[in-house]
Amino acid sequence: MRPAAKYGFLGPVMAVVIAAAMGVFVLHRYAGERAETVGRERASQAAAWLLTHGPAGVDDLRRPQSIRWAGVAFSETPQGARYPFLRRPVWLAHTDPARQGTPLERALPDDKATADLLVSPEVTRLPNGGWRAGAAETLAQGERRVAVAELAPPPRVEIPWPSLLLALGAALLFWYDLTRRVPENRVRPAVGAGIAATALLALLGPRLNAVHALEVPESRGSADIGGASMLLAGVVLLPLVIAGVAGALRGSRRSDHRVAYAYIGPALIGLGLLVLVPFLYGVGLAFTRAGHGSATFVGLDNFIDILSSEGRAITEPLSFYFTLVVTLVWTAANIALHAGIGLGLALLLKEPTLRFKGVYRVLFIVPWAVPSYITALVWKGMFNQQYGIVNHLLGLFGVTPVAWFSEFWTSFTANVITNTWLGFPFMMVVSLGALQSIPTDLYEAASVDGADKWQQFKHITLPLLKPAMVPALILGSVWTFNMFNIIYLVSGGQPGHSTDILITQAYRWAFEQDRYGYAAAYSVLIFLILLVWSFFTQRWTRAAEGQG
Amino acid sequence: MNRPGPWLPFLLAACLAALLPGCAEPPAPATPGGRTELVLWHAYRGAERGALEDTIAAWQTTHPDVEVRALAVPYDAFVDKVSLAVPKGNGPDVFIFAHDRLGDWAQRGLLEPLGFLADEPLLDRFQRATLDPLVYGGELYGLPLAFKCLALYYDRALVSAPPATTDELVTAAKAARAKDPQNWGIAWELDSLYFHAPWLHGFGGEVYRDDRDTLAIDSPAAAASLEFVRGLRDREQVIPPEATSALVTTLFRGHHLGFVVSGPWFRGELEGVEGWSVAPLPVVSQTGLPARPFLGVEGMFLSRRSTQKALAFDLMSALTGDDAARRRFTAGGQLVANTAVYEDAAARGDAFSQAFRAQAARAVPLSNRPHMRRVWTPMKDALSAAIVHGEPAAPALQKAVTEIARAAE
Amino acid sequence: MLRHLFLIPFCLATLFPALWVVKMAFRAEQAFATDLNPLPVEFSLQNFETLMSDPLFGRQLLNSLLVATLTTLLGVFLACTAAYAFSRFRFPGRRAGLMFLLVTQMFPGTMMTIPLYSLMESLGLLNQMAGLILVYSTTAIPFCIYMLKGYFDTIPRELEESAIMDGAGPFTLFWRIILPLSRPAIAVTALFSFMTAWNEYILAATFMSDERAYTLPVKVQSFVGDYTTEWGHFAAGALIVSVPVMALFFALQKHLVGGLTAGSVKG
Repeated sequence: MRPAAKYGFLGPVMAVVIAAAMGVFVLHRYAGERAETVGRERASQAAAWLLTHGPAGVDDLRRPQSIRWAGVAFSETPQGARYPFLRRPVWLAHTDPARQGTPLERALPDDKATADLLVSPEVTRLPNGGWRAGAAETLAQGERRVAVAELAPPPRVEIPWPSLLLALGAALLFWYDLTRRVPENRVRPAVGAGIAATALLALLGPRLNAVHALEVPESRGSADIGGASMLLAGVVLLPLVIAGVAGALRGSRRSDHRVAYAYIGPALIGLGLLVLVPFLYGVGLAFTRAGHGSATFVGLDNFIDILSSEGRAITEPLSFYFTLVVTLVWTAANIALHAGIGLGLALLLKEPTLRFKGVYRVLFIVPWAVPSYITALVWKGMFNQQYGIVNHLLGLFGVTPVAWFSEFWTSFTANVITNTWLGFPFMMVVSLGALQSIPTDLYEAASVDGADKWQQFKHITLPLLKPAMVPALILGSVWTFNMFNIIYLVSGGQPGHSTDILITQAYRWAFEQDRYGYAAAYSVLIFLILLVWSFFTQRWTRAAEGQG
Repeated sequence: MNRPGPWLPFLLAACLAALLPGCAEPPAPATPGGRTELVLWHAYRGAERGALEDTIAAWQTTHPDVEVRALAVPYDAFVDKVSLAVPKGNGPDVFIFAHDRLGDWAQRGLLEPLGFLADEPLLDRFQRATLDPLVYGGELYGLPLAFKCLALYYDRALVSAPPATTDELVTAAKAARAKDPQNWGIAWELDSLYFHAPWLHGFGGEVYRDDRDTLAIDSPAAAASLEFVRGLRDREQVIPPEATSALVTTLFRGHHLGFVVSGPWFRGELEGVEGWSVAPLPVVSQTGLPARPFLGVEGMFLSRRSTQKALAFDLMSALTGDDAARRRFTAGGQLVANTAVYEDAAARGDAFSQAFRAQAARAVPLSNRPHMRRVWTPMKDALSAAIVHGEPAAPALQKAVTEIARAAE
Repeated sequence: MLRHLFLIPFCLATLFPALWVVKMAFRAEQAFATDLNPLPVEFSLQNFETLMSDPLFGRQLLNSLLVATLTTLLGVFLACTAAYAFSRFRFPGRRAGLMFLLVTQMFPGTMMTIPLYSLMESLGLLNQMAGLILVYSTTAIPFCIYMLKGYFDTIPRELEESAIMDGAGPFTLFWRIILPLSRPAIAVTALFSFMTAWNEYILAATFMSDERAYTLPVKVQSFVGDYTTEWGHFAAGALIVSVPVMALFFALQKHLVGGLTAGSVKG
């Protein structure tokens, strides 16, 4: 009676199709990328050769057939020029005897591409599939010497068929085993997965390497964190997934587990890719001194600087510990207010009999719906000392105008009020959803037993709300901890950075002070603090699960 | 029991994933009939954008085989986008931005030096002061489109004539304040170094010494400039408290503010308001030196990764040419760097642009060196402490120097 | 009635700051409104006209709708299946998996743009909506999984046990029993996923290099300049951007009732 049984074969078929599509995609990119790398490298090598060997090197370069033409030019600044930064290029040597020694000005009009090249010695792909590369050197007198080489299109790059077929076969085997229930066989999937991983790495490795090599055109001893972190992610992620799946399968023969892995697989793989790469990039950056496109490894220096507050007193606003305390108070205050107001409103709005409840609900999410960039600035305007509505309203009660952003507590309060306004709708929506998980007959039973509203809330609503609310509170606390734009837009850290939280500090270090490594170390510390926090919350989650 | 379960999420995910590229078709770079394509990025909007697009269209009539794709990138995202895309070869051929990022980009190898491409007749069309900020490490990296600097806006109903000295300025501001309890004398963003710069330079101070590397911001002259502004705020009480830019605009629009120190962009905020004029900033009475604001130049830069540099430079040269500059000046309201425009009768009679031109002649080019960026935030803290919160000026500046030095390690 | 007495003032207080946005949107000038009166004093559609007369406005709105809708579909679907597994199965690595989800939210996002750009570039997803959808849905998924898992935990297992007796497999259980009962939680996660994709502009502006591929928030944000912002246009854009969210929520909030009815528990 199970119609789905008929279509059981679709599983492996789909697995094969997906694997094949992925394989073709990877292969396609790999082959193209590989040819590109080789071509670029050889063209650049030829140009570099010319630059070091001077005009005489042109003759040596005629020998390799792939070089179509090459030449050396150098620039000079005319004497007594009005604009000392103007350069005049002069040809010195050329593989084409007809162009030997021609002043460049005359060669220019009919050869715009040559002009492009002389101006900048980048590797360019020609329409015919070849490459043109140059090398340049700035001499002491502000003169520039440029060498150019053009490469014929390379032969086709062979496709690593064996490696690809191996990967496909292994993937097929793996998925076939996973979807058929053959509990006795636990070796094949693991082996298959291992082969697939190796083959994939073999395919991807050089590709990532190639990307790595090309990313920084002028790699003056700088660490390329982007490429390295991606390679690292590939190396870490794949075996992790494989080991996790294989190990888990070995641990148990229950088909339930396989079902579970298949259900969570797509989400976790996607997340792993998109989170792990940036994460490793950030961690890598934290150990460097980075700025202006280059980075040098400095070990733990950034962390030491932060934790020692660079000689600032602990109570100074720019010290790590002061900011940490502010961040914790900020998070606690916001979460309490968000959850309190959100839950209160949800309790008022959950009644099916309430009139206009749909209208209320929609109006209450307005703070969430309108882009916060503008509303945060409206709030800032409302807190203006002289022209803000807040002081105006307080004035009606005889309060003298408050300069909100010149004292720590008032400035902090302004931030919290703004963020509460922005954040409670989300908690209200979550609470509305969570409240629906409580069966209504429990309340009926309770009121029959004579429990009043408060007792019902305390003994039914709160405990039963836990499973659905605790996750939102935990995630909410993490988000609030890293809530950047409200503080940046409303108080801006005033007075004197005291209302900054860790994330706004990190932002300032990175984007206002060019200390990317230092900022990344801040981010790593934020991450570690939240990690400790999450270990605590695990207990509550477990407790909440117990309720369910 | 059969389980169709395990593969189903994968199947649906794969179907969805396969659908994505289909329904969200990538906007393919349209190059019909083998036309070459030039990509230009800018952060202009409104009239400036319209004028730029007009000048591009004019260039295209003479280059029918070239397709220029101009992309307006939000200002917020511009710097990151350029810094990421250009090194990877995904960037534009030409892009337009303020010159203060130039050193950073040139150091990273993003920009093409124009020394080979430009020549004397071409460069002669620019006001020389707008050309120098585009030079870094002895190389020219951009062609100037327009310039920006601060000047003195005043409300003709509250102020009879623009002041020549700061003493006159204070007197006039106090007089404007006295006309109505709602009135204020003068306003600008007190805690911004950009806005404080005129007084800093007017008191003889500077950010960096002549070698452009040694900080000079903790000089007695700098401290004197801070004291001067604090005096205006606390003693003379002519500056409104918490003068955010939004508040300044509102007050000036409502004719409740005598003077505003602001740049050419402020004209856009005053749409529909009459009775105001612009004048160069006054001479500082204590020193006899003119108050000199920072000069910022909007440059047009050539990407080093461009594959058609000669063609791209041709476009750059056309967009900074006389006709294009005229259009940007009249339709786009830009203060163009091209000098020919100001010889026109229409421009000569335009008090607004003449005032800013005069001010630009008495301005200090904003440093294009990367380490200048580290100065802003510590100086904001110092200005805020000394002017707004009344702390002593010299220690506040000393602290800023320490912070800047720390970041530069 | 008592409820209304409380709700109406609170509602007004909530809407109060947003009134300035409305005011700026319907004013013919571009300055930021700082006056005490939040009520619109003039009614001009000029800002809306400028925005909507842009030939690319329709295209960009469509892009936004497409990206947000597909993000919601992909995100909610993947989150549902994963949450179901986390809630109903006890398997090795379950705790670690849940922990991993939480951990993904911890590394500050401001530092992510650069590596994400490299990743998108090497996956060939720059300037493609698929890239944005992928990034947005993975941003939204951890919360969605947590929320749904929590909700699934509250659904009594007796329901499934009786279905298993009738011979239903895990997918049938998931599709026919769990999902219909979880409508409130799915509505919440759908709204969340939609919002994640709908209001984002930094990544969209960085990844997309064609104005026809921009989403609406990118367009709205482009009214912010270095020294000035066209607040009238920005406010009008902000209002246009908020309307679909409210409409979506109005449609979804119907599902915030019901869910576990007493009848289904007894059945």
